[in-house]
Amino acid sequence: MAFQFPKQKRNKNGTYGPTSRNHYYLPAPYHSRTAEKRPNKTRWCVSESAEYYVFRIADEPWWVCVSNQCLFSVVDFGKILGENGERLAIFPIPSNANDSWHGYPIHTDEAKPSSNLLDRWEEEAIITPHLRRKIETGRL
Amino acid sequence: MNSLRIFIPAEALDSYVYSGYLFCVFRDGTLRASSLQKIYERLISKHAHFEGTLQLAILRNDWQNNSQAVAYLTISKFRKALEKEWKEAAANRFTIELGKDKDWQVLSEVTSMPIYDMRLYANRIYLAHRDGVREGRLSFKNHDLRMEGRLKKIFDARTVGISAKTGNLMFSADEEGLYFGSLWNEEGVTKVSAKSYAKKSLRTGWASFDIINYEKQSYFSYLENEIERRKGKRPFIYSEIDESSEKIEVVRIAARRYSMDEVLERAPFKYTEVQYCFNSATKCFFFLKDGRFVFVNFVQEPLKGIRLRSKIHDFSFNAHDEAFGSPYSAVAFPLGCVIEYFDRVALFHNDALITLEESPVISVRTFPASRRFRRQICITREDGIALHTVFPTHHEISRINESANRAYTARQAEQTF
Repeated sequence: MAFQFPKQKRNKNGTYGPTSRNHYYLPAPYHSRTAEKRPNKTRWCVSESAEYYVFRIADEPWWVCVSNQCLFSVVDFGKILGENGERLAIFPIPSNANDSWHGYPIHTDEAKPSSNLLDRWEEEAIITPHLRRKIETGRL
Repeated sequence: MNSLRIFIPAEALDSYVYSGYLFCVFRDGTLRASSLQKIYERLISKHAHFEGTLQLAILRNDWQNNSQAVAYLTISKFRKALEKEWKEAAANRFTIELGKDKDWQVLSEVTSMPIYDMRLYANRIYLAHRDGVREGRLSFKNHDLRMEGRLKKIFDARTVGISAKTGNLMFSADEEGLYFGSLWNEEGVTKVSAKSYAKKSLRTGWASFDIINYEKQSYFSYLENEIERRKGKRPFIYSEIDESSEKIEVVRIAARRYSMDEVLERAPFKYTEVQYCFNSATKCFFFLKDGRFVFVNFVQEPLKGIRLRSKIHDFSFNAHDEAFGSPYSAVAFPLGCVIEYFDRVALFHNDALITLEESPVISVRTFPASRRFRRQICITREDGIALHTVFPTHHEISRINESANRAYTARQAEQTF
């Protein structure tokens, strides 16, 4: 059966969350699926509530990539998250620990998770070997 | 017409057809090989009535489109009979079980896993890993395949792509750049430059003796090289049946550089419209964001350098077909290409899109420079290796025939003078 994102209510201040790490997520309007097209800004193809789900599943197990100072996320072995077929999402670590997080879909020819994070994803069966190779070679 | 498919179950990470052998890196960290002759014999022991067709498919693709074959295939009744036989064989979707230890010869342990690319070239194997590139020397004397010594590390940076031509190799090291290796030295070993020729490289493609460096899947730079023709013996051989006299060495990499914007100056679309691109020796292929799939020929303009012709050739299929999604990679194939989508692989050939595999795959390889395996497509899946062979279309045969006739007429004219 096709994967369905669980629905999540937005807080009064526009954020989603908190996650079990007490992190909040604030969708960036210029990455939203309804945003105007801008060069160098990818757009989600899923709802804001689904954006939060993508963030939460990366935040709680802490899918961190130290070299890029961010979290990466992947859903259901590579479900499409962005309007150009992007299947990974990136969430930069906020410079201020109390700030809300935001994120956007990304193609791996722009940035990719570290080999350590990919080792972990493969061990925990988050990704398959074929998906790993596509990520590592910048093809996903 | 459907491809003739042979499936070999294996715990494979990557595979490659070279010099009559199927090479495979297994998930247990071993590099192994099995001869195509063995695969062929195993198949005809069960399907003896397809002996000739399987020989053409597995061992001798050149017998389908060399000048003798073309002469036979232009005889309509002969061609129809052969096509009928091929269709019957292709309907079988052959599967052959090879015993991991009995039928796959272990050549070496692969010390760094996973691998990101493999290339067999000039009797050598190159493996790209996260900690660099390893090279192994192969010997095929008297049909006895051996690895001479161990895999040796020749390059240290994390490498995701390898390409090779006339003794020159390019190593794509992602964010660490693009490096050049050469076999043109007396020791006959691959010497890799310490200098990077680009800031980023995901893969490279040779355009004649120049290099197209793909910094992104939708963006490249054109690096024009300087070459010299060498006299005397080449310090390396391509294979045991090496008959080529080509001796061209790249003596200066990236002597001139052109951005994708410059190369596309005369093309009726901008680089920002490109979703994925790749090249063959003479053409560049573009999947555009609006779904079109086009190719353009390279041309060298005397004063302005390398450009793509303004005329584009529009293939009549939408690359963003709902059923297929967007392309993830593509490789050239005679009069077409093989396109990898997220969860399937398709062959674009004779203006039609034919599904080859209906599941996600690890790698797709074609062998356009090979003589005997030019029509093969080697696809590594998580559950095994699928070898496809494609029968030449009537259009291909006509083209080969026309070109052979032109060459014959030219030879006759030369003799007359």
